[in-house]
Amino acid sequence: MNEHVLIIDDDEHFARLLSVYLSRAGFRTTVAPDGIQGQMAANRTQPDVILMDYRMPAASGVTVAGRLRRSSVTGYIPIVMLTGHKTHQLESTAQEAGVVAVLSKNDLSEEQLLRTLRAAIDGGTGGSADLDELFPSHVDG
Amino acid sequence: MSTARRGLRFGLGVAAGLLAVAAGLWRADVRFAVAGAAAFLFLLFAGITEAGLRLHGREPRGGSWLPGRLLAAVEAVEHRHAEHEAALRAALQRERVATLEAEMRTAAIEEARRRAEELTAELEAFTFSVSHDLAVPLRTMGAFLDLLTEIEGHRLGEDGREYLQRATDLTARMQELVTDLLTLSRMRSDGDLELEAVRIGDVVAAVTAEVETALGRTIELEVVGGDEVVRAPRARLRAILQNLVQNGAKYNEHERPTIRVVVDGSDRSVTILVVDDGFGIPEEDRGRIFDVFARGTNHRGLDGTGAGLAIVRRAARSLGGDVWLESSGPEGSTFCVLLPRDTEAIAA
Repeated sequence: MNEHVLIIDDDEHFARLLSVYLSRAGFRTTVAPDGIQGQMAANRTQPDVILMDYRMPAASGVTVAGRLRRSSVTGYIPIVMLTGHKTHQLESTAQEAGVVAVLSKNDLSEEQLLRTLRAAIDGGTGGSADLDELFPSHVDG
Repeated sequence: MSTARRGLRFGLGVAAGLLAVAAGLWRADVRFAVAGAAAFLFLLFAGITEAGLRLHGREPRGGSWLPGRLLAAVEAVEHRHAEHEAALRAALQRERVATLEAEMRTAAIEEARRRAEELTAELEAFTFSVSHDLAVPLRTMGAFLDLLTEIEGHRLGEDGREYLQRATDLTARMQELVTDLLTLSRMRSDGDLELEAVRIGDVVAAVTAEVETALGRTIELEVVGGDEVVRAPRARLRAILQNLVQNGAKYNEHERPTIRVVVDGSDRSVTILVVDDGFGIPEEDRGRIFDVFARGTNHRGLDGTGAGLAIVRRAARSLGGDVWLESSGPEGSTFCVLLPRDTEAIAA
């Protein structure tokens, strides 16, 4: 299907790892090293899903996610957040910003990444999609 | 002058005075009586004063001239009084100094304690910061090594594959260490502690399954009192039990290690005994086993970061409880965890 994933992360090595995993699974990937370029890339390329790093130098992942979700151009794109330290607090903040799932960078497996992305893209309606990783979706959006 | 002669003079003086008073009264002559009374009192006073001086072990000065002696006696009393006052002032001064010194010591102790806390916090922040910055890169590195092995491993010779495997193993070991350090250094500052009612048996079962996977061995698990419930952050309880079960199964030469968990409780607290049939902890190590990075002398070549028990203790104490080695021998060890029934998430 050649779906397109936009990766927004300032960690070049980790972003490359994600690209490798995604390419192997048949996805197309674009990498943006910060929130501003990420927003621009999202507007321009309309990816099917966005992988967003939580902690970035200029604008935080949560801020950028919020902006993307509020924009009419990109508001429909599901966002999966990645973080070095996943906490309940972080998850609720992310969820409020419109993020559909939070993954920990520290114990991320290729399999879990793909499963979560699939579930995010399918909106949780896919047959084999694992729903555990996703936050319960809001009925009113 | 000898005491006897003095006594005689004194007596004569008093007698003379009394006679004068008597004569005055008999003669109804007031002047006589007054003079006699005055003389009597004068002598009495001198005598008393002299006796007083003697009492204090002082030689009355002024020789044998009575007014002189009287003066000397008064001076001596004043001198004595002044000495008392000086002694009192000195005592007060010493007390004041002692109080000040005590306050200074208390302040010094407080300052030292504050400084120690500050240093500990700094060290933990440093540990956290470094571990945090190492964690993801190590993970990424390990992932690329795995990819390399997967994609190009077949093209390597036996030696090449061995070297790659060693690099992978070392990376995994570093990751484990960093994870342990992060866990340890987060325990003090982590505010993310949701209390929930946790059934201990459930946690034991869950962590045992994890340990079985991690070690690649089957564990004979027996749980008594698994229905006991504590109100605690689940993650901390998990950390405690996971490390204890893992140690019990890892430092163990049985093909199927046996772990027995006995839970008992009162209204206010719960004790969890974790009994293993491992090869035990030598006497000389028992004082240090809860220290970070302390590894025993007989780990028999088994890998470990040494932080496991440090994490257990930090976690237990952060919940208001504690953990200790109840007993140990070549047939196995027993650790005991004490937890309040309803833990408050207090800083470790």
